[in-house]
Amino acid sequence: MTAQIINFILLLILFKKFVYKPFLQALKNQAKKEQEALAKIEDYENKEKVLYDRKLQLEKDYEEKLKKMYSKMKKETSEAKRQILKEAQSEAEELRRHNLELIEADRNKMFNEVKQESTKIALALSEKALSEIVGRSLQSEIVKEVVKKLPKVKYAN
Amino acid sequence: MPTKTLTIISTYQLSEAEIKTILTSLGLQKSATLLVDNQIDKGIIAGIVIKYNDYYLDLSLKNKLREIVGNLS
Repeated sequence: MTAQIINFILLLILFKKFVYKPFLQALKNQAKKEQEALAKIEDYENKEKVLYDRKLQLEKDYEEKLKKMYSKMKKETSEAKRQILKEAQSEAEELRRHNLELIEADRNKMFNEVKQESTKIALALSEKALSEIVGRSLQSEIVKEVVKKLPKVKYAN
Repeated sequence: MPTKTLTIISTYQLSEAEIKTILTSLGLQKSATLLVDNQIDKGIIAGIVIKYNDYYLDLSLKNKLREIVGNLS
């Protein structure tokens, strides 16, 4: 019985020294490795999250930049369009004014020509009519009146 | 021998009296050196036109009519 107890104790000592301790150490090592792995995973997850957030932020920034650029381009295009339209309107107005001036000048020219022609005709008719109306006696009377009104000029012969 | 000419344009031959009055108005006298040339031009309608040296006076009805029309236009 004693021998059995001693054997058991010896076995227990041996088991503890050569099996339990290394096994426990192996378990501890494993647990430590697992802890480290978990920590690494957590670290990677954190890094991934940071990267993901950064990616989202970059996408957002990019989208905002695109929107700004689009807005700016749209504004510039609109401004250019308005400027072109304004210039076209100005040119059209200038053309219209020039044409009106030409029309007015032509009209005035034609009016003056008609007026001159009318005056010539009226003058010719008047001269013709007076030539027929003014007789010898009236011509004589006119000469008398004209001579009376002659300016007094002193000429030496 | 006349050295100067007084030209009077009229629609009919002026009488001596009319010519004398014109000469008097111009301070001229009939003389051998002055030739009075009375030209007939019915185109002036009535009145007279006087030319003497550089003196020119248009007192014709035609000229008056042209002045009036010129002023109107």
